[in-house]
Amino acid sequence: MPMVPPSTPRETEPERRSQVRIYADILRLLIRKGGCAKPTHILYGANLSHKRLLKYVEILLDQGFIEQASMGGHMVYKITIKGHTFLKELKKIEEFSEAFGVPI
Amino acid sequence: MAALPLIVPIRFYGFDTAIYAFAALIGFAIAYKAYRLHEFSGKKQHMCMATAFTILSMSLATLALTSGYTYFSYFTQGSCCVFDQIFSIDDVGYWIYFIASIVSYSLLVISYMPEGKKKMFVPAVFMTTTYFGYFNVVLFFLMGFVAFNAIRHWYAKKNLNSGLVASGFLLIAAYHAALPFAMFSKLLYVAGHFSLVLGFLALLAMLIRTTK
Repeated sequence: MPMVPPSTPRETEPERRSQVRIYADILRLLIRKGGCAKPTHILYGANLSHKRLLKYVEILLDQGFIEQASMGGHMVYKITIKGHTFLKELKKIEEFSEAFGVPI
Repeated sequence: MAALPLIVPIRFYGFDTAIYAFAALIGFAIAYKAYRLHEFSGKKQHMCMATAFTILSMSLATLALTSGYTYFSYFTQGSCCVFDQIFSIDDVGYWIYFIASIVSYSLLVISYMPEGKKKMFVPAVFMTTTYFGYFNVVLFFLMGFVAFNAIRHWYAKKNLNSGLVASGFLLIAAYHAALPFAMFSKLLYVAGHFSLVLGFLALLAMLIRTTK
């Protein structure tokens, strides 16, 4: 079952909350772009700095939510089935937390 | 039991046990989902919710066992297991249930408190022979606070899931409001338990809708 990557450092609550949102933003961006996108598109689409992009992409790669691929000579990131499952699970969890009024 | 005994309609014998067991199962399912939520968010607020529902479910399961045993003893031996003149196995179940419910509802209250204003509070618990009414009044106020926050949230969002949660908590609060008067009317004992089962059914409906 997918969940927030355990390798993620547990920091303060707002930081952690934003991490879950950032994972979802990156994965949703990849879906909007047809399943894959260049790093620069992710950088602008998810509104991340280059340093943070590298950090989150590495975590998503480690967890198997995205994978690297080559398209037209350019390196792109592709969302995997595990990434899709994570997003589906997150949507359900968000609905549950929204019902109780205790947001993620 | 309490100073005044509860008036349980004879046709209702065993139904309350089934209601406690049913509510415990729903509670465990909600606790699991709340734990999954905590895994995603890492927030203490969500852990409080998961712990609250786990404790509540365990206490309801205990109550189901003790009341079930009481009915079983009554129907097979014609008497209840009593430790002394006033204390029975049923009382043990109720004491566990009430103490655990106070802890559980307090955790729910904490999870609904705004960030930075969370303070642990311990409702004054007095040892009294009329504990049944007293505990239900305390639990009514705790659940009332939770229901009030859930209703406020539903009013702001106006979606079905939050409406189900709000009505669920409200019906559980109504159960605690009805029970202190169950010593005077058997109808209130039945109505209170219907309120409890409807409350947990509302929570189950929300759970199914958010799991699909």
